[in-house]
This record gives sequence, C-alpha cells and structure tokens, in this order.
Amino acid sequence: MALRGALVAQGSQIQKSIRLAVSKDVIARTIVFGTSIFDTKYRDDSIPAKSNYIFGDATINREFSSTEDDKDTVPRLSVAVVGAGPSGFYATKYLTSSVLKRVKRVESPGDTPSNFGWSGIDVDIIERLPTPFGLVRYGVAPDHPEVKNVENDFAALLENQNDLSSISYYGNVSVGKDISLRKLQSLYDVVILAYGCQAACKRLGIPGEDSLEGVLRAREFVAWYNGHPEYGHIGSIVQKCLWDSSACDEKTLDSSAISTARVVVIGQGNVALDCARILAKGKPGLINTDTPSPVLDILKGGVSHVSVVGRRGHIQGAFTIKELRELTKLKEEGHDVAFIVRGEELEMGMTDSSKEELKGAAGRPKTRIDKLLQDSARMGDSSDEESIHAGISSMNPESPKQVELRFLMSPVSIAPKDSNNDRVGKVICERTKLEGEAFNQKAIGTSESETLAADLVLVSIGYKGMPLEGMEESQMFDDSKGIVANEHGKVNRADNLFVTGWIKRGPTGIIGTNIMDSKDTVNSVMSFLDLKRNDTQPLSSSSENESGSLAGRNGLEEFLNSNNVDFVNWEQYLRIESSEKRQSRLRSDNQPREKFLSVEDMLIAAKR
Amino acid sequence: QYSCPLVLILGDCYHHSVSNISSAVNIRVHSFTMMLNRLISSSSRKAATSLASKSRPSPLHTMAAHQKQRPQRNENPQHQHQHQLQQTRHHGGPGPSTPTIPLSFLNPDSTTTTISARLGETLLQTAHRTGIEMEGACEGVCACSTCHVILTQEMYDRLLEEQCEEGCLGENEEDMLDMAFGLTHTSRLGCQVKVEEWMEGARIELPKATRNFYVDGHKPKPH
Repeated sequence: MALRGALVAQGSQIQKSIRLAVSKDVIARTIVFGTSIFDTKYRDDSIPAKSNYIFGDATINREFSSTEDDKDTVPRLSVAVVGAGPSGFYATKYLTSSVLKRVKRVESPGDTPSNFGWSGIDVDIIERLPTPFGLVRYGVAPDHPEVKNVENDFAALLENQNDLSSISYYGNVSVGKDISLRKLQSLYDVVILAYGCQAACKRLGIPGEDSLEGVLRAREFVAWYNGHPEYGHIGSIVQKCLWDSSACDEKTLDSSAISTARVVVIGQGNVALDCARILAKGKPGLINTDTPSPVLDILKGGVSHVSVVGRRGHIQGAFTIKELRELTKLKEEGHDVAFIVRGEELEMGMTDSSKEELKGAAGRPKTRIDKLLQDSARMGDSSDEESIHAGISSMNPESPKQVELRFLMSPVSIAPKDSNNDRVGKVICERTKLEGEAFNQKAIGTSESETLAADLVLVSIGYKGMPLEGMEESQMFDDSKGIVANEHGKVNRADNLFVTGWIKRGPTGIIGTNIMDSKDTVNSVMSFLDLKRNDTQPLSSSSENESGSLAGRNGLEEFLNSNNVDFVNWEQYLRIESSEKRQSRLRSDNQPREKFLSVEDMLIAAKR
Repeated sequence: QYSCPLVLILGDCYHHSVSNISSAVNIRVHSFTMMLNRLISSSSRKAATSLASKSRPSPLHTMAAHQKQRPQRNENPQHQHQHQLQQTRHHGGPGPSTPTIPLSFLNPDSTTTTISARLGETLLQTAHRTGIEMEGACEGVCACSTCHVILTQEMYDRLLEEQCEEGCLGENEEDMLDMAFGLTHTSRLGCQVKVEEWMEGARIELPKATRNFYVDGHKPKPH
C-alpha cells in the first residue's frame, strides 16, 4: 500500500484537512484517526456522501464503510523464494528491479493507473537453515574468501527497503516439512524454487561404492570441512581414515603431523580439486581461514598422497584453470606440496578430437589448461637438467606431500583392505582411451588395469537434485535429470511456480552463472504476470485469500506462529553472524569467523 | 484492507494509537512509523515537534530513533544511495571533483546509456556509481567474472599496449575471463580496466543473455 500523505491536524484543522483530501479527487481512502468516532462535530454534511473518506478509530478496526468499489485497488505483488543461496538472491534482486521498473513506468503522467496491475513487491526468502547464502557458506572452499564477498551484495538486498518494495528473510523454515509447497502457493502470487541440489549425488555404480567404510561423497566431505550442521558425523570417519594406521596414538600427534593415508578422489571438477587442496594444505595452510577448528584438529598437517582420478583426458576435465593453477603453486606458496601430472597421460589424451576441442575462442580456456599441464609435466621430468638446477622441479623428492592428477583412469571397483573387510583399501582402475567426435568423446576401457591404494575415497562426480516433500504426486520432478521440469524457469505442471538455479538447470556452473539463469526465470515471471493481468480473474492478490485468512507475508507468519515454527529473521541472523566473529571464539586474529556447528547453537545466538 | 493510495488524517491523539492504526491498515508498526516519520519531517516539522512536546515520549519517536541507529553494513564513506531501483553498491574510487569523460554502455537489452566516467576509476566502479547493470560479485578483486565487458578492438589493443607489460593480460584476469559467459577476443574484466582520457566517447558492451543458453546442447560448465 502506498501511503500518499499523512496530515497531522488538531481540532478544527481536521475538518479542513478532510475537505482538502476529498477535493483533490485522488483515488484514495481518507481515514481520520485519533478522534472519537462518536464525535460528530468532525462529520461535515457538506462533504458529499459518496466521498472517499471514512472515520476510523483505534478501537474499531474493520468496521469501515466502503464508499468506493474496489475496482481501482492496486495490490502489491507477493513473492516467496525458497532457498537463500545465490540463485534465490539473484532472482529476488532481478524480479524486484523488474517489477519496480514497471510500477514506476505506470506512475508517470499519461499512463492509466493499474496498467501494470501491481503497486509494488514484497519478497519473502525462505531458507531451511538458520543461516543464508547456501553454497557460498557451505560449498566455497575456506581458502577462497574473496569468492564469499558476494554475500555483501545479497545482504544489501535485505537492508534496503523502500516504499514500493520490501524483502524479508525467514530462516530455519523447511518448505515441505514446516510448510507445504501447496500452502505456499496458496499464500503467494508467485513462488520461486531456488533450493539447489542438496542431498543426492550421482553414483558410480561400481562394487564397494556403498558398502565400505571410508568411501564418502565429496559433497559430504566439503559440507563437513565447511562446518555444515548436518555433516558433523563425517569428522569421525575422516579421522579414522587418516589416522588409524599411524604408529602412535592419534591424540599424541601434534597439529603438524602429516597423515600417511592415501586419498583417492574420483572425478575432476573444481570440487575434486578443492578436496585435494584442503587435504594437502591441512591446518598450517588453513589456520587463517574460516575452516572450523574441530576440522583442523582432524586434518592436522594434511595428507601425504592425494590422487585425483578422471576417466577421460585432461582436455575434458571439468575443472577450471584457476583451481588448477592453485595446485601447481602450492609449493611456491610454502605449503610443501608437490604437484604431479604424467606427460604420457597428457599425450594419450591429445587425440585429434581433443585438438578440435581446443580451437577458436571457445577453446581458449582449454588451450591454456593444456599449456599449464604440459609445463607442469615437463618440470617434473627428471631428465630435464635445467629445471632441476632451477630448483623448480615439482617432483622434488623432498616434498612430504603430493597431489597427483591421473587421467584416462576409470574406477571399476572399490575393494577392502586385506586386513579388514569392512574398510576401503584400494581403488581398482581400468586404463581408458578416448574415442569419438570432438565434444562427444567417450572413455573406452582397455584391458590394462592399475590398483591405487586408498584409505579414504571421495566420490566427486556431481550433485543431484531431489524433489521437495509432496512434489512426487504432482509429477513435477524429472528424476532422470534431477531437476524440476520447467520451460525457461516456469514449472510445467503448476500454476504460479517457478524455478531458478541448480534445481532448474542441473548442478552446473559457478555463482555468476546464476545471473543469466535468474534473469531468464524473471522474464518468465513477468510474462506470467502480464498474462494474468489480462485475465478477468484476480490472483490471490488481496491480503486475504478465499478462506478469509491472511495471505502473503502476514499469512506466512500467521501460519508459522500457529504451528510453532521457530523462524529466524534477518536481524536474528545478523546476531548469529556477529557471534561467530566474536574475538573470544577465534583461534587467530586473522580468522574471519568460527562457525557454529549445530542449528541449536545458531538458534541460541539468534534469539539471545 | 487498503490496497490503494491512502491518506491519513491524524487527530491530536494519534500517537497513542500507532500500533492499532498499523494493524488496522495492515502494515507493520515499524514500517508505518518509518513512512510517517519521513512524511512528517518533510512537511510540517514544526507541527510534529510541538505535538510531541505536549505529551510523554511517544512510541513514534522512540521507533524513529531506533531506525536511525541500525548499524550500516557498508562502511565505505563514498557509499551512495542510488534511486529506488538499485540496491546499495560498493563504490570506492576517485571523488566527485575528479574530471570525467563520457562513456557509452551498450546494455544487454540493446539500449545505450551514456554516462560520465571519472578518470582513474575502474569500469566496475563507473557502472555501479551510475546505475549501469553490471554485477561485481567479488567486489572488484578479480575473483569472479561477473563484471565481464566487451571492448572494441581498438580500445582492447590500445589497453594491451599501454597497460600490459608482456603484451598479455595478468594471469589472474586471464584465468577469470576463461569462465566468463560469452567470452570474446576483446573481453576484459571491468574491475581491471581504469578509465583514461583517451577513452572519451568509447563504447563498452555488456554481454547479452541468449534465450538459447539453456536449450542448446551446451557442454556443461565447470563448478
């Protein structure tokens, strides 16, 4: 609602003000407050009966006589966004800006009112955890703090309210559990799903993948080292894998002790490289990051051998050059980790089709990756006199730790230790060769095999989306792709439902990819609104829906309160944030924050 | 409920009923007082204060005071509020008295916007200061590709000559550009290009979204 004017008047001024407001022929309602409804001296019979003014008093809230019908009322658009990660925030940002552009256009002289159909926008961002930001908080590696700067941009949305738009945050509310999707759709004009890919993963489908202790999903490992409240249990598994074989009692080892455990990461995306780098750096390399202290206590000085294994060649690897370069520079940055790549594997991967994939502007990123890897392989070649003398050999035998990238190696089974049938001991790989057209090469098995020792296996072959509770009946979810079926962000089998982010397009891309993605979805929302405006049937746009109960934000709060859902608002989240940064919690001056590791602790900090 | 422009005429006892008024017209108290405060202070300041002094401190006043004390997230002193469509952005860069040159941005929707760019600021700072539609997720530290801009061949070549020692861009920028959507041979990151006098009248293109972006059998982007 747009408040056009408030006149503070006393006594006889009130009468004058009423006449003034009414005479302006404004399509408005004029309400007189703070006077007794029974005080007839303010009622003026000279003001025409059909005027838009009504008397209201503090004690009588809704008994107002309506002298105008409602055809000229212009409601505000109510929107719910499910998920407070990058896609949810970008969608909020662009939808708000698109709606305001249309509203402002309508308000200029010459436009007929209600051209757009909405007078503003209210967005409620609903998040399952008490804390927002999704993978920016729980996915981005702790040694990439500048990537987390985007949080400031998102927070600014919540701290910039104005007369035409408002954005609210509701943390610790699980859509599907605390409130059904259907209920949400009935409360709001538009619902946008932005809940990402959280609990499922793609599977290798090989023996030993599920049955052996010490085989984890990279996704779980990442969530653990980032302090996600639902993955604390991963710590004891990692601890066992890294330290069980050590000669002495783990507790007596100091924090710089290097584990002799062999870790095999299966997959070659940036998540795989992150896992390798975090394991290699260990506590000394991560002490000034926001890695939680209990995690560092388990990692200690890091791991001596990490192999990152991919079934295709280096040109097909999903990693980007920034993450790759970081690995090549670990040694020179003081982390004492050698980076190893085998020249012959690069050669085998350089098929004619791979050469095709390097061409043109689109091939530029891969060309640079190829060069970097070739240089690394060359530097590691011990027959290269020059590099040995220069001391830049990355196969320096004095490095206590190493990260190795292996290509054209496809895991065919995961096997237990000889000494213990329940724990992982090795990954048996088959050598592959590439066959097929450019951009469509497949890894074909050869008969050659190689066994990699493995005390911990991290399977990093991709996230997968899951349906929300209650979605299965409506068949909205495409199980094979792991996304909610949609057309440019509009959900196919639903009315006012949209998607953005990974649950729309699959688990690909970086934070910035969501910019274009969200704009695409917002376009679909705007088209949908234009279509609806032309319908004679109104949306659930008034602040009451059919059953007479509240809708939009008020409806959400009423529902949550009556169901005792302990939601966290933005101000309360800010308390969590400042508590995490409190000096007394930090292990060093440069540590950005010491995260709370349980929802319980977050809520205590929020509600203090 | 009221879903149209509303005019309130408040009698002399209104401040006792702020919360009741708010619930009657269906807005939250602090939003109501915020709006009211702004309106009152812009019109009849005198009337408001004289009113307030007559009675004990009203909830209106304490609420207004509370609003002002909310901590500012962004401590950058050059932080400016854009018009209502833009959110708070980080700026930094040279101050308002810096000489400027005109620059044109070709927007994703194919319109062109001409603005005054301050000498010495980066294109990202220019964009944020003047409301050009450019993201800067990492806040200008070359850790993302969201400020990707496409330059004319002429501008690109001259920059390369003047600003880069070995005839190629810094490793960091090149690495980030590799991830930019719609990468071209004359692409740069806006946060790495500083405005210079010779750029006067130059045209800077922002990458367009194509509708086919998600329909194409694109090779999956890394993450």
